[in-house]
Amino acid sequence: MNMTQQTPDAETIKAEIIGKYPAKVAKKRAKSMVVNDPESIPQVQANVRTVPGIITQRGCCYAGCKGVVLGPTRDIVNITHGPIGCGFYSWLTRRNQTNPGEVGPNGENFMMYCFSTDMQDENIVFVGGSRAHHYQDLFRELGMKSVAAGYEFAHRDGYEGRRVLPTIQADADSRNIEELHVEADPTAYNPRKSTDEMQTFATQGYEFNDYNGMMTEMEKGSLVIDDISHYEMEKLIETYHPAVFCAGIKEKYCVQKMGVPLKQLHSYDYGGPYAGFRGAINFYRDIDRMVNAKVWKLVRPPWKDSPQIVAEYATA
Amino acid sequence: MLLRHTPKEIKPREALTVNPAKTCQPIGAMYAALGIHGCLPHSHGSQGCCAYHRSALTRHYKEPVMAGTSSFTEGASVFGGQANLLAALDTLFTVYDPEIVAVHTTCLSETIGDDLNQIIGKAKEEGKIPPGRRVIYANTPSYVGSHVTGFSNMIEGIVRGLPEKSETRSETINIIPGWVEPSDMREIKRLATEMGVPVTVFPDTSGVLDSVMTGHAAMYPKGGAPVKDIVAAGGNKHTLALGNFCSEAGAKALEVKCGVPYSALDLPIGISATDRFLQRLSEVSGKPIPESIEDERGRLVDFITDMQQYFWGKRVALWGDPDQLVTLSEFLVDIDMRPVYVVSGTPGKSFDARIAKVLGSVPEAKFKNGAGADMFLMHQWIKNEKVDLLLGNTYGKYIARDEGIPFVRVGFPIFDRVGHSYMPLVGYAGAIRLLERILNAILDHKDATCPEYQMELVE
Repeated sequence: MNMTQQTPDAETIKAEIIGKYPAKVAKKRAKSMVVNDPESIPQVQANVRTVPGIITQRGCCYAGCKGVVLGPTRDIVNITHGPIGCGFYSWLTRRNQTNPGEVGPNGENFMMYCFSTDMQDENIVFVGGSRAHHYQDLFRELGMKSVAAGYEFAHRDGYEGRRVLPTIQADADSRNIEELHVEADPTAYNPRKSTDEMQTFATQGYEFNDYNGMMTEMEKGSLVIDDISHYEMEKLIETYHPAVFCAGIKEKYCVQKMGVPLKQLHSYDYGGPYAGFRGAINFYRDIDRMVNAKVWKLVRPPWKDSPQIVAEYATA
Repeated sequence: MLLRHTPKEIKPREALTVNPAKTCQPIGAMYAALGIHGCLPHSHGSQGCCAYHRSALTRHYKEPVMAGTSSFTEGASVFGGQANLLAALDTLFTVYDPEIVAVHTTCLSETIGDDLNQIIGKAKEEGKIPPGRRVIYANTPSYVGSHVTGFSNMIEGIVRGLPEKSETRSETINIIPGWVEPSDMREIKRLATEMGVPVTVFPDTSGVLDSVMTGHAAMYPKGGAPVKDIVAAGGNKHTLALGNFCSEAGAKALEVKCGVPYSALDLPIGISATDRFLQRLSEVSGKPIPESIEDERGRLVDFITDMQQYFWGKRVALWGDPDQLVTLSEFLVDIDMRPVYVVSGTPGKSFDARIAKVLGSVPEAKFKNGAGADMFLMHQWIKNEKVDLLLGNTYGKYIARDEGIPFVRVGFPIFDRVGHSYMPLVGYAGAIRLLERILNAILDHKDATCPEYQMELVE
């Protein structure tokens, strides 16, 4: 990967992409797509509602709850109360590995089960990319540059860092999240490190509760896009011809059809783990395999590049 | 043990489905709509539904699955989704330039009571649908029927929206292929071509969900039934509806709308159902079944006679969709296997009568569909009396491993193997492929588990 390779001008690309949208949509999307400057972080519109019809990567609240949060619990029976689909689609489709031990009282494992109330019409009353930051480090370690990045769903501090954002909304959001007050349970809360220990670590230079955000880590002139649409994604790939693209299952085969390998950052394409030092090695190996796979060179049939031979056959 | 909490003892259950053998309507509508060339399916509801359906279809096909969503929020849930659908149609046509958009509802928009016909009419009035472009729709409430119902409803939506009545009749035969794979639709067209019968197959996902790798991603791959062919279907000679659950309602609607007579047939899976399909196609077209197809049949029968000893008497559990289960069961009976457990989550009274007839020579068979018919129950049946083979979707792998039973993947979804989109199950060639896989599963299992002294080189 050539780090000094000239990348196209991000402002031009942005203007070209936005230009295709209907006026109202263009106005909204323009705020969610910004050209980065790590010295003076621009404001990015994040965590606002998706414009209908853009073909979003986003899913629903239920998917986050049942799939992401409750997914890794093995000794809880999760019952989906609703029509069958919601339960069905969240049934084992996210990766959760557990070793519950032997069958027995402590060996509960309900992960393989889908429980649903399977609501029918008589029950209906009629009334009327969170990981984009971490992976940029790993790519940097491979000598690869991130030219554009964004979250499927994030708050502004995810992009701009945990610092004073004078223009942020009170709930960092547009009406999606309840205001919660959390306090430690005096009997049940058992921190792994005491306050004194934490202070000692701090004096040794360790940083806690700090997050610099994605944009401080990204190069000047790179593109930052929240809730990217399918169309925007295609345009980016056409423009940058990246060595690899990272997203999810819905994007995978479309991007690969364009001749660009896609690494799924939710399921790791059923590989991994990528956390820690050993995980980083797994990641390097996977990216090397994907980027350098021979199949990408087989996409174009050889006769496409030898028109004279075809012509000779035709006249023979 | 993976399914360690499934007890052998079967207790009555109410209001709880465990490990379903079905999913919800909209995904079927989305799949059917992808079988029209240049079509962008659109999910009218919250964006999570659309994300789930696209993900499930993508995992099954390893292909791009494009679809829009109305991205409902709380506001739409209270005030209705009209504004969202109008905005979505505007964005979709401006940015993605589809020839046709096929809208389906979700449980939320159905419960609100959005009137799609009225909203689409308004979109037309407001100029949000460019000239020459079309929008069709289907109502697909998730709390009625199953994914199979959704597929059937979108076929009806296609028929309501596209075919036009004609004074004259062409020699072309319409084939509504049912919810089968792109490879199956391709095979049905190949058989018709082999017979010299002009056909319009719709929907047709071949060339859409098995699209080629060229280095370019086509938003609308070159496959799919062309809109103009479906429009002309109203003037064709006859319709063959393959699979009662998936295709008959659409064929009937076409008869009512345009006067095209139809024949309801089973999916041509296995030897007898393929025989009936070809015979009927021959009758309505006046074209004989050629020797080349007879030879395909001959090779299938030869396979069965060669390896009959490994099929005979083997007990099979199968689950999935009613149209497939009927003909798969019939085929298993034809080759002297015993389909003893048959389960479908899709409701519908006609299944009972049909499957009972097919399983007439298997008195020990248990079958159930609709409420309470799920893979949990089927697993319990298996625990009570074991089977020699499992035939069904990917979710069977947990039962297969726990119980040590050979397993052949058929149906939807198949998330962990490929092949279904490339190689057909329908027709005689498809039957040979199915038999090969069944035989391999049974013999691989035997080779892996039999006592060492029983290992045979020749089978």
